[in-house]
Amino acid sequence: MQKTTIDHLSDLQPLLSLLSQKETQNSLIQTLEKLPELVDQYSALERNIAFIKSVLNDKESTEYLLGGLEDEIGKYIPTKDSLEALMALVHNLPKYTKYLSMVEPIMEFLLSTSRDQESIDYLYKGAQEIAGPIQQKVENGWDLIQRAKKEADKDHSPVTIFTVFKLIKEPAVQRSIHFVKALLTIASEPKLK
Amino acid sequence: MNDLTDYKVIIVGGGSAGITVAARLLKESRTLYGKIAIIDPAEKHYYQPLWTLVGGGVVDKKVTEREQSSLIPDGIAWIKEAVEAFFPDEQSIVTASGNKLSYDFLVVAAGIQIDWHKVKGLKESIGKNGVCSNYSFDYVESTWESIRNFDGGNAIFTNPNTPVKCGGAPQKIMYMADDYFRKSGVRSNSTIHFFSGAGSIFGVEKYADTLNKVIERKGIETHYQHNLVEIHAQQKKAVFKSLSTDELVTVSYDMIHVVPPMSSPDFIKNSPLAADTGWVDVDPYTLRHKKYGNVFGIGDCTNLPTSKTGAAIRKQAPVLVQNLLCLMNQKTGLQKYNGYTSCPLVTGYGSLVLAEFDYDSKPDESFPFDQAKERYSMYLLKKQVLPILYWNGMLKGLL
Ligand SMILES: Cc1cc2nc3c(=O)[nH]c(=O)nc-3n(C[C@H](O)[C@H](O)[C@H](O)COP(=O)(O)OP(=O)(O)OC[C@H]3O[C@@H](n4cnc5c(N)ncnc54)[C@H](O)[C@@H]3O)c2cc1C
Repeated sequence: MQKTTIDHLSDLQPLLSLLSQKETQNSLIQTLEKLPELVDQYSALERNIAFIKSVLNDKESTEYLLGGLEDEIGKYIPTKDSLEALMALVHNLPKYTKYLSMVEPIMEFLLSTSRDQESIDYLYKGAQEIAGPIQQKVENGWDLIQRAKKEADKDHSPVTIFTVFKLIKEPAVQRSIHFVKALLTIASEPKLK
Repeated sequence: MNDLTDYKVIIVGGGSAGITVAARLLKESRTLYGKIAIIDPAEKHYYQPLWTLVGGGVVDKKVTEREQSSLIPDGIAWIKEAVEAFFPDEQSIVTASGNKLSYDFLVVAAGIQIDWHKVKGLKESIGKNGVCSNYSFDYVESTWESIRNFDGGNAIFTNPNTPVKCGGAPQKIMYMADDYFRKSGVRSNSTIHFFSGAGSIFGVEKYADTLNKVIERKGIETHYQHNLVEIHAQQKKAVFKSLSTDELVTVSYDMIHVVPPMSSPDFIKNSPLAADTGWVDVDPYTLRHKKYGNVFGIGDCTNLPTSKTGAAIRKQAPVLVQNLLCLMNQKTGLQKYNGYTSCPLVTGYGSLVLAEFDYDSKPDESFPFDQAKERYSMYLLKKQVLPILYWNGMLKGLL
């Protein structure tokens, strides 16, 4: 049986009351404001040099960046255009806003690094140096870095730059370091192959 | 924007602290766009922590220098002048050219002053003939030159009895030099001396224990409570004064790495903002000036009782910004800084002890393993990761 207008209105009532809450409204506005910026940032990144493109293609870091957000959105985003789903979305806006504000500084950090040619050059050179010792050892017989690496190995602590940074407790550092890790991985790839 | 004479916030100094605070203020409050000025005459900005590795010949000094103009955040006025005097009662400052600017809130972030002139003969000899220092962009390459050309004899490393920026830097370069001398085969016919105005190798016991072992392993001769007072460049002799007996000791050198005495910048010392010691007198937790409530201080120029480092500033900046905005918006919720500071103590090429501690000299570590151990991973952190985090994270107000 078809619903009457009255039925529709009463269905809408809980949504309207949710929407009338200040917190919900603020979150909605913030989310809408932030979205174009985030989309822009994504596309700017995509337009960027191949180096950065590969970072975005790096499954691990994209998952890391979007993992939390997707998990949450996956639960709530309206799959069909139903009122319930829309309500759930609105209801959870404060949560999304929280995630967006978490993602934003990382995006900015990555974007800033990706536009910063000096940093990229520095990272690239560093990664080459890190990948270098084995080759040098063969060539020179004696290598300082190689020896230092061996010494560090003795203490059984994680010695690769990548695994260790994962362990940094502070979340902000951890998030950003993940990108640096990815950048380094990519940068050192040609050398490792 | 630069034509204004009245700003909501004036930041004196656009170094590590000044730029970080400016970027964070704008991030937190877009309404401040166009209402903040940074006053700093310097055209260049330096990532100084890498100077240790420049002196050690590992990093090119060029990567430590950037144009200040590329770092001033959009929406912030940069006034390219030196501040000469503070008038906190009338909420204004005066620059060297006589320009008077007013503010609602003032942030003092002018760094530390290097007193080259306080060691007789140093200004004339620095950068030449084995007299070197990592404490200046202009001379840092002379350190690597001295280390590389050293072919035995006396290598001296000094540390003054004044506060310095990065208390660990005077010894880091010594450990690298020892490592290099071993590599180049001159270590067996040389002596390494560490002359320090301090009473021990490091203020935090946990790390001091490790460092004392490093010193023993490397066979370095330590002379505590000794201050460098004069350099006779012609005779290649350095004169030290014992802080306990006032006795003068003259030692000949083949190379000497000098860490000069440092103090609060003169224009701060002579201002109403200074404590008796000359540093900006701030509350150690809120970073707010003890007498002038609308003035804040951050970084090397303050009397915060912690080691003066960029890492400390990374933790001070968010607290300062929150507290300043609370006051500006008449809100409650002042935050507290716990004195966190960090010193990545390079102990050789490829090894580092990452010291992190707070006001109580209690280790306050970021990694879930014993950071007192020398590690390659921590060396890589310093060399590869921290510079990127600095330029793209910290100075952008993001991390
Ligand atoms: C060799 C060396 C190694 C170091 N190693 C480390 C390390 O490993 N880890 C670490 O965290 N830190 C390290 N540091 C310390 C770190 O670099 C400083 O603590 C940090 O840069 C201090 O920041 P700041 O903003 O207080 O001062 P600065 O960054 O020095 O900036 C001060 C600014 O104030 C400006 N200024 C000065 N006078 C005036 C005036 N009259 N008017 C207007 N502006 C003025 C200057 O031009 C400058 O731009 C090291 C430093 C050195 C030299």
